[in-house]
Amino acid sequence: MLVPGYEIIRDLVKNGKRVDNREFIQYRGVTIEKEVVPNAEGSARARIGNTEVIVGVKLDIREPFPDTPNEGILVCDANLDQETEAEIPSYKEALEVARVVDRCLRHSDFLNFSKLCIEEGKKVWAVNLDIAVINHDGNLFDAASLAAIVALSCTKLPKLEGENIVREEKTNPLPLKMDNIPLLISIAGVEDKLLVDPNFEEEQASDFILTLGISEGRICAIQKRGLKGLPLSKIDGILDLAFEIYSKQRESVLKFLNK
Amino acid sequence: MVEQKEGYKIVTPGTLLATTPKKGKGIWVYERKTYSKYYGILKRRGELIEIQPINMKYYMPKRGDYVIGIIKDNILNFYIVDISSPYPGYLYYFDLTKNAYELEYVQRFYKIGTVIYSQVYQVGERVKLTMKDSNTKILRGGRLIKIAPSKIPRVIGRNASMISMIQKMTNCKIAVGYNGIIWVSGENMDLVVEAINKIERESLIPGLTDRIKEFLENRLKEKSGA
Amino acid sequence: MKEEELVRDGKRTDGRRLDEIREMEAKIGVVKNAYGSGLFRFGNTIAIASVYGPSEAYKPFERPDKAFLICDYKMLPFSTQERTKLRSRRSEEISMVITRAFENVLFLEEMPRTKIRVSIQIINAEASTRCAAINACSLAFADASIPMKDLLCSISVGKINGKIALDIAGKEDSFGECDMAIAYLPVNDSIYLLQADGDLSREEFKEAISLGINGCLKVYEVMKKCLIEGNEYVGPRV
Repeated sequence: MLVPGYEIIRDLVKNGKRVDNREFIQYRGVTIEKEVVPNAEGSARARIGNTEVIVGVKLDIREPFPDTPNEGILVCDANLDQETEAEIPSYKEALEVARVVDRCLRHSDFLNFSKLCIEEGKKVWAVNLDIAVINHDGNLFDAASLAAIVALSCTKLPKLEGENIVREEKTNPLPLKMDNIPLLISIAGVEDKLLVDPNFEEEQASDFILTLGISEGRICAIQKRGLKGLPLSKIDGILDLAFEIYSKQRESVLKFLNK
Repeated sequence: MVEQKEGYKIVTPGTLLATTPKKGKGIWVYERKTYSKYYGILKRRGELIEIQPINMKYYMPKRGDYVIGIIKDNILNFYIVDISSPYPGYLYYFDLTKNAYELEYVQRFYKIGTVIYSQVYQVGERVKLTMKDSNTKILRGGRLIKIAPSKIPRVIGRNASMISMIQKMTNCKIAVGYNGIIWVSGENMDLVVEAINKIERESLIPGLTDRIKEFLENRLKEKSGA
Repeated sequence: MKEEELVRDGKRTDGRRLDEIREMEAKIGVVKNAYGSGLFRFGNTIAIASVYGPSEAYKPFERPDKAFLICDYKMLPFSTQERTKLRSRRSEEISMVITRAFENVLFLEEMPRTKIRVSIQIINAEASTRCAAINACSLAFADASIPMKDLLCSISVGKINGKIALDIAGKEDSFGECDMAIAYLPVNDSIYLLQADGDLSREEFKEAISLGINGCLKVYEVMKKCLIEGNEYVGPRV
């Protein structure tokens, strides 16, 4: 694409400003909606600025993995279908989002996998979480994790009649530990400064982006992106920022879910 | 959001405009009746009908248009210029100079990444650009903004009223390309960028010129006060 | 096989009459990055179309005389009762017939050697997805200022319990005797997409076409209203 915006972004950041006049630690407007896809067992839409993501949860029954015969299965997948000017092709970006959200959910103790067992060694519930990116304006990770948490929170298990799944009838919600909500927080490093919630151009212009999956004071997922290195000196600053943002985000999510 | 401007009508593709064949822009004739091709604003000038698309984000090169482009490649005897269009622009060496010795000198200025304000002189198999026109030049420094080409007339204003006002008030150098690219340089670059983005968003709401004037006045006051 | 009761006393399982369309919704500008975008909804069937282009075409997509149009129809995995694949043979066929329909509606000759790609995503599917997709595309093309003859409108018609019905939904799709998708362009009174499966007599076929075209005209009104009045229009069942 034409406009060499990345130099501009770096210059602005050097002077303490961002393209959309945000503070370095300011998020764009966040909107969450739940149950936006009637056919899904659970769904949610999350918007951060112009970034929009829809997450749908579908459940089916499968054989458990041989090493965890009494645990349910989680599968995360993502779809990004846009002509972006990103450095990496869309399908790779989507793959990355899916895998990091998966790690975040899996290692945070949010989903109680053992309660998803139907018949040990033979049948367990498989939770299929699909992330559809409707518009990509940066920070897909944070948006996807927000939507994923809300979607899982409103997911209800369909009724099981012998071998058949009766989807029209819903029973209990998914076994979740609402104390352990995991969220992904992304922080970009540009010109020696740290930027929260980078938009698309800021992501392309940054030296590095560190995405941390945080759940109740513990880190459950980490992904470093970006073409340049992450200086060791920045890590403390990033951790402080990330944990601070996490508590605010977590509060908003809980408030939304309790309405 | 779309708002109706006084005296202007918004039409959709396939809207019947006349029961006889007419001439103009953005219209098509079928079985001797004239219809609209675009989702846009209907303008009648005597016997001519023009449909102005509400938000055309792509630029279709036209002969005579001034466009801002970035040189992205240098092959054989021409430069390929990105003019933010589905059609790349071609700037031939012979347009810059016919002299082989001069060419070496000229090529020091026309490199990959150079931003030029050029004119479209031919549209056909290839879109050809020229730097011979007196208004064309190389743009150095500054900042580039991209907006929808259909909003450029609004940025320029009637008789260039809008753009000269912005230029005077901010004391910045501004070049406007019909391809939706605008170049700005000067201390108040940021204000110009904000003003132009504002024009793009609010182009259909009446009273825009006054609002932009007020906006710039307030921001300049803030800046000098700070 | 016991016939599923889909119609009783002239009313369908969701309370509609035979010639009644579900609640429709039309929106434009829903995908900010796209050149133009549209959303169309029939009841719970939701489709979003995003137009990218015209942009520079590279071989083998470059045609010397007109733009290369690619309509890419995909169903999001969570859009159906049972989780589905993004792409399948069915989605490839639908992509092809939608592209074919719009090739005749858009003035592609005005943009030679370029490429126009439309990404269609089905968010939730309760029958008539390709119809919602076509309507979303028409809105998206208009929003993107792609020159076009008219807004192509589409709706489904079917036969349920022996009766011809408009806007097939849910169970009517699985248990009905016939399901037909029709796309109609008002300006030249022509049909640009016509697909059906099932069992119809000649008279039933003509009745279905006639009912379908009436339905298309109602869809047209919804789309037009959305474009003229702002960027969102939700209509009650008509």
